[in-house]
Amino acid sequence: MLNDMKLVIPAMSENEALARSVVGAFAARLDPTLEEVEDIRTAVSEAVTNAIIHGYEGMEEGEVTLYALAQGQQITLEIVDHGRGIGNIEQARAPFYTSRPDLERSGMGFTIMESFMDQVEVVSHPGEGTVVRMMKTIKGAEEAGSGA
Amino acid sequence: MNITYQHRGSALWVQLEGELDHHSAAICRSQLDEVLAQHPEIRQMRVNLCQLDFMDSSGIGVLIGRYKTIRERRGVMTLYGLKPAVAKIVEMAGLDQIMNVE
Repeated sequence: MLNDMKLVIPAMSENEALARSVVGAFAARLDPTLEEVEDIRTAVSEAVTNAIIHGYEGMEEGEVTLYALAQGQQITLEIVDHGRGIGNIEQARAPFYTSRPDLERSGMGFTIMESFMDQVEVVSHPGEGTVVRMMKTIKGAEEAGSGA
Repeated sequence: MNITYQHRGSALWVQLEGELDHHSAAICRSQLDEVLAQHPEIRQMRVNLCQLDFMDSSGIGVLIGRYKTIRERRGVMTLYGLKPAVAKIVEMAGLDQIMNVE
């Protein structure tokens, strides 16, 4: 099965729940377990939140684009913003690191994405924006013996 | 999300319902900080998460922030009724190492 979708939303915190809902519905077609759906929803929530808080920090408006691609049982997600970009990606991905302790950020965002997805890639250029690409193979349907 | 709480003596019972993300974290933080500021005698905070359907790292930040207040008062914070997805995040962040999780 090959399927894809694209969601473009204004970078407002109200839209975090929308992004989660849409990706959850998209992933549901692959017959995932409840835990797999929650993992994907949480990883997307982290990436979209990062785009809003950090990507568009100090900017009045912007857009976050969520691409999702399903190839067989593999789901690939891209969360794209055209904001400030990340100067030091390695530092940003380190557990408990946050550039915004003033907002009570826990610094767990990338750690959660990496733990909940099979693969996470970050491409970012300061002043141009950030792409977070995440992949996960859905095993729920295979284990259940369903043809999906 | 919906936040309800009940306060008696040094104890505060809080129930969080719905989804705790970056958007709802701001509301949650301000409501809890208000009641904690109004009642400096509160030293025990019990947070019922049985109706919390979703939480991400923003929720971890909210819980750690309130834990710091309770710890400064030499009190105890307890989380209970965690659904599996919420428990997974709580354990990953190590909250079960610094506060009570039932």
